[in-house]
Amino acid sequence: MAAKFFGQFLLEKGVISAQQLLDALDAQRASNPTLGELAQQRGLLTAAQAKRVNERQRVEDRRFGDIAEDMGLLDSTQLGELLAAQKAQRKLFGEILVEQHTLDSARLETELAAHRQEQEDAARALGETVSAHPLSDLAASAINTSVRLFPRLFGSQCQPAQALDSAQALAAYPVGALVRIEADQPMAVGLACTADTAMRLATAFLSIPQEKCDDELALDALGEVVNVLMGYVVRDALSDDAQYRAFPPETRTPLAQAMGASPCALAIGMSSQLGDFALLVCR
Amino acid sequence: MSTRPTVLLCDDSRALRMLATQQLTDAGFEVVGEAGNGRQAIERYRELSPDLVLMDLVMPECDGKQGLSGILAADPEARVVILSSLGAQSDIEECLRLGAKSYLQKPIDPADMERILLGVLA
Repeated sequence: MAAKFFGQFLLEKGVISAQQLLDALDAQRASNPTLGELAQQRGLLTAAQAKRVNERQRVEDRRFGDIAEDMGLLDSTQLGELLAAQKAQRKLFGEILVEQHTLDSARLETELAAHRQEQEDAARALGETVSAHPLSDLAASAINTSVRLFPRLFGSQCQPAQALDSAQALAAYPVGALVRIEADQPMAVGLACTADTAMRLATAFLSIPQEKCDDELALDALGEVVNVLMGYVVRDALSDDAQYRAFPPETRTPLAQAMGASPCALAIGMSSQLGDFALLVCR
Repeated sequence: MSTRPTVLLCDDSRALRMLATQQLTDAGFEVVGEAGNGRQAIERYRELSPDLVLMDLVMPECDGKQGLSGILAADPEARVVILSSLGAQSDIEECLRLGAKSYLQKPIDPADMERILLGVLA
């Protein structure tokens, strides 16, 4: 059983249609303006200032408001008002489904409970698989870094879904990038997905419309994302003065093949609003 | 005639070059040339004589250290800033000893980049 976002859970159960999911996501997005958007609506920040704060967020583990305050763009009173306004406007996905008459309240409660149970079962199963694996530390670092980096690099969330126990399971994700490190204990980290998901990740990463992105650029962007991911994993796994050699991202070999060829590897399926993907860690 | 500081951007990733070009332009720099590895960077440096070079470390064929050495051999006054997500501390130290002026960590923080590059130009 894999952990999924609530919308994906409902779609896969056939409780809502793809169009109903998209309509609800659009409505949720409209009801949840970012702090930067709210600040611009109220004339507190210009678009250029909000962009600068967003760019800092790509590299700092801090909230938009904290960075804007540090940069002297917002004071604590303004920040407090913006956060209160954001909270007042925010709607949960389930609330929107009820508002749009896609579900009634009773059905929503039933489905939320079923989703919660599935999440708990999936988290337990994943935790058991990962903790029992010889690469548990490396996998945990790659998962945690992805969850932390995703909002900053793509403006979206991701979460671990399930362990993928074989190279065959990775075959569903034919596009991928893998970065290898040569060290006392060599390691590799990869990310694999479908071509559509790669395109969505690349356009979000580069902040460009889809018509400006081609398959090759999408693959290249994926390689750059894995480079950044590996940068964090290496700093977690190795001491500051460790000697190692990094190699450019490999994007031509399917990750299923890399997993099959590795003596010790673990793949984790991840859910994201931009599409499912897999993380691969190898020694 | 442009008065913006000119930059040669060397990284094997086209995606990174797109992203960094936008960030450099927003920060008031002009990207006058791009290179995909150290060898191309040396050639482009000779042609363009930019004010600054932003140089990735991990690249195929000819890496950032080789590119740095080649550029400094052509122009000992060249201002090269290393840009990397995966450089080991020992690599960065070696680049600084070879004559790189500074180091920038990916993903690029535009504010850090602007501060570092302006500092190198000062």
